[in-house]
Amino acid sequence: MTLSQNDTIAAVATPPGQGGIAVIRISGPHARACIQSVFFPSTAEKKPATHRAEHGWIRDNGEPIDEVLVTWFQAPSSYTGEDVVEISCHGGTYVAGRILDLIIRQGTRPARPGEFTERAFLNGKMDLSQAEAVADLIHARTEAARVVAAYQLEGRLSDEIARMRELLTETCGLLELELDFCEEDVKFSSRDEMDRRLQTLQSRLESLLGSFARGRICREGIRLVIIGRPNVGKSSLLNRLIEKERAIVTDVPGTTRDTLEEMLDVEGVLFIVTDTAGVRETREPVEMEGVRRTRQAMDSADMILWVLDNHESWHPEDAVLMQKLQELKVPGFCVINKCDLKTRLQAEPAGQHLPEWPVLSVSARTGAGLDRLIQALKNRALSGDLPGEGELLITKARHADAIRSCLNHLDNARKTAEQGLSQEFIALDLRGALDALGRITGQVTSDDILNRIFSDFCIGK
Amino acid sequence: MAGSYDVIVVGGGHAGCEAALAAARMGAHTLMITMTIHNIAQMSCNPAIGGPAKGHLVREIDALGGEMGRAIDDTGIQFRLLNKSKGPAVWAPRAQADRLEYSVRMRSALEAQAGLDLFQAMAVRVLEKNGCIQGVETETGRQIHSRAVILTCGTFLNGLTHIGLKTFPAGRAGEFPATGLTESLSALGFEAGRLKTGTPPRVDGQSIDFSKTEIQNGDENPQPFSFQTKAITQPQIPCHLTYTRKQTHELLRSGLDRSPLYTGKITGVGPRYCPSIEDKIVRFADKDRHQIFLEPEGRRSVEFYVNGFATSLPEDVQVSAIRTIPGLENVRITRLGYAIEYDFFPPTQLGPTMETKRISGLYFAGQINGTSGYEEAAAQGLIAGINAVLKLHGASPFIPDRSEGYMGVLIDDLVTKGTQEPYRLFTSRAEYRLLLRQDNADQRFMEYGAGFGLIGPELLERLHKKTGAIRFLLSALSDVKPDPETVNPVLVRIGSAPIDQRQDVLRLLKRPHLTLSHLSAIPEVEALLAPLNELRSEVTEQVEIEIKYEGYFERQREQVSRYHGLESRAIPEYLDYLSLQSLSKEAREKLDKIRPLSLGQASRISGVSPSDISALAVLIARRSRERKTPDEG
Repeated sequence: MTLSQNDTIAAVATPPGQGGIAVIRISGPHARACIQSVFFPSTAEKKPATHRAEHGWIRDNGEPIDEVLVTWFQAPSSYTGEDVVEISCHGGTYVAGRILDLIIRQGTRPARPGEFTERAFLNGKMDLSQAEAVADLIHARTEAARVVAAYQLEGRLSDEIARMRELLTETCGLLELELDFCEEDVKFSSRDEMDRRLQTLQSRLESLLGSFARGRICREGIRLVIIGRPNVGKSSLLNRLIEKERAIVTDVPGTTRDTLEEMLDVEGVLFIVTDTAGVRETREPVEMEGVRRTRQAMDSADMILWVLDNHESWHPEDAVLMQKLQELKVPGFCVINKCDLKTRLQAEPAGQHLPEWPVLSVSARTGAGLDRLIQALKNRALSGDLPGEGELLITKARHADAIRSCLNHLDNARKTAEQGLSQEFIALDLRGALDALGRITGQVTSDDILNRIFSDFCIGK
Repeated sequence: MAGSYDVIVVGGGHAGCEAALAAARMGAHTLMITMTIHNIAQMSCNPAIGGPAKGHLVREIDALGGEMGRAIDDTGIQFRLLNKSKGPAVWAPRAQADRLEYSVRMRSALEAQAGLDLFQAMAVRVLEKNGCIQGVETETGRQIHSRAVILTCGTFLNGLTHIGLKTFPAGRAGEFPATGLTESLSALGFEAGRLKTGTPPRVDGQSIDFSKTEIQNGDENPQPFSFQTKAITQPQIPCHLTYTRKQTHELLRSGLDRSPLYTGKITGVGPRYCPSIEDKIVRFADKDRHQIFLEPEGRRSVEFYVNGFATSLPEDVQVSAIRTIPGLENVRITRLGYAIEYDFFPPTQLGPTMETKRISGLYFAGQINGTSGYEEAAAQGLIAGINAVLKLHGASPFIPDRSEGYMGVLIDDLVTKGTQEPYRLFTSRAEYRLLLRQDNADQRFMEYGAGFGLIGPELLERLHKKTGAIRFLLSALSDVKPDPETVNPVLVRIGSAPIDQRQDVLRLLKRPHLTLSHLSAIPEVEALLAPLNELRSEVTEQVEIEIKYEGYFERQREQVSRYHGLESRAIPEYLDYLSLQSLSKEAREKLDKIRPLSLGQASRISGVSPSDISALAVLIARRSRERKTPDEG
């Protein structure tokens, strides 16, 4: 028995739901053969060529199903490295499902989630960090996420890691030199010199690690929670933000009436916005539950919009909320709504107790100040622009862990050296640091990591 | 001489000696065939044993019941423990040998060994039937039958020496090469390669002006290699250090047009860690001097070995260049330096017992596997000898792994990665270096040696006493908590900070430079140490090392257990690698050739990339998944 993937798999490669077109992808040795009896090209006499789209009809026992474009990618120049056929049909769950069903009946097997990319990985079309990047690209919901994933796919992260491994390997070599060639007439590098090298490495790794916060925001979005007393205009502010950006996204199922989540794409940055129930002292059970959930949402927030009512005076419950916000230590904005109405609020306490929080005046009703708010949100989230071409971001917790472990080893190594212990003890940690970096590009990989990666993949990407 | 043997060892070098002695000591009727009996255990290159990793290896060989450690202890003329300023893991014993005495000493051991015959002949063919070894045929056409054959042919297989542009077929300068065997093995399907190594001139010590050199003495308290040697008592002889000069380099450079190396005459690959002097001056042209060690060849010889001056340049260049070196202005060369090319068989054709994958009962050990160094050869010979007999007895093989010793590292490297140049062991090749110390080789290997009958019961009993005492002390000393008044005088004397409350002895021992002999001033400590008697220094050393570096050892032990995890992930034997399109072409070919036993071993094969390993892991996982839920149809 061999372990090669000799079966042919098929799946709808575009997301479920309505769309302009849907793509059915088939990969494996019989990819081309299995459409032979169901695809009828409009120019039948021509021989099919690789990487060329062919126009024609899909028919099931003569019954026309859809007008399609079929592209054949001959192995190994395809996504998976195998023979691949992609059928672009008209969008819609029904048509695509019907065609897939037909293809399955031709002797192919439905692909498991992530199986196309698994095959691409197994066929050496990409390394581990690239395979992960594909998963991100598929899941990318915003421009920022797409850009980061696309750069990683090009092997940028792998390249940077490879450069650092080179530097580390070199340093290890210098230590070993002194141990294995102690009798040779060679100039050994000084402890100071080694320390400088390790410091350089540490600072490069730290800056890579520092990019994780930003990278994670690009990849996963930022969790923004809107809070405030009842009727200060939280929901209308949210609606206004959504309307302004015209990029609402779907209601996330499972959210309750009390906390509603919306996806908001602010110029390429994804905000997962939670509108909460107004917070106030209450004994009414339903409302108490709402308040409890609000507290929960606040605890998981990356950023908070605290909405105050310009038309009402400072309320003792505002003070209670403010105290809670001080404890949380999450960045946020103090948004004074209803600025089109007469000012009755004295917001000075907010400025005093949350000095880091910009105070912005808006009117959800008229839209005044909204542009400034949106710009401020974006700037705060990414502390600047979208990731640029020269920027390298860590977006994966697994990568961040490996870098932390590497940093930890470097730190140990420097401490060992400081204690005056000899090279072999220092080398222990430098080897560990090397192994840690290897975990990013997949040097020694456990099944756990692989399982995670492949289960993260949406079917057919 | 009997008509047939259990084991035939072809070759009488360092690998052959250990293989033959181990086999005979384990009860196998053994024959050693060698081309020149009076050159048994010859040191073809420098007259020294040990050094980093190599010294470790000798200690392991000794712990397993090999002969090398005792032989060098008996015949060494200068002993030094290298790297003494570093941690205990890299302390490395090294000794200058009396070249002639060493050979005689080893030959006596072979001659005295019951069940071991010596025969001077050249083996020209291995006899094989249906993939099983049958014996060997000598150049006189005699067929000698045996159930196992261990080939330890050194640099003799089609050996060709070079001095300038002149070449001489030879196994060593002045000795015949071995012909026929390579061809016989190639005909059986073995792949052969060609390597190169070189050696410096020997000179007449009476013509050296030592006043222009630096003296290098041995250690005052020489440490023996063997766990069986009580003490080194013979007087030691110094070595001398001198340097090449710019003028030397100019003369050497003037001869490059007649260098077999630089004219492309030599095709075999030489060792990068042991370059010839011409190589050094070409590759490191900016260095204006290279060190030269003048090493005595023996007590009864006037010859000196000019270590650092390996060369295959023409005779006139050797003579004029060497005479520019301070102290050697009027030196007389007794033997010219030369390079030698020889056949080897890439060791990926072997399993970890040193048995060939192609022919059952045929083993290769030593330089035939592309290694260099007497110690590396001896270790392989010992492993091959032990395993040949174990196989004859139907017993399970002896395969030390990378976490057990340098022997494991050596063998795994050879059979898993193969080698592109003459392979030498380094401490940096050992992932678990901190645990593989020369001081604990007995604890790592003696038990095995006793199991094979190579280590006697008294030695084993001594080992048990020692390990028992170490364990006991490690626990008992933690209960000794002397008060500040007792300890502080000791601490102050060695410049360590005094304590202000009771502290247990193990914690105190973590302080740098503080030893148990300092603390024996405390009566409770002395009470624990006194009953150790003659084991005292060995046991206290182990306790001190264990405690001082405890944290580092602990981390290495964790790494070892992770390594065993990957090592235990078996790869199905019948896997058809060549059909696995998911692996790179190189990985497919390498894996098919080497056929690793575990995912861990596979991961160490060069050319098998991390993503190949991931692919293999996924494939194996998928296969077991598919076995559980077979595909429909």
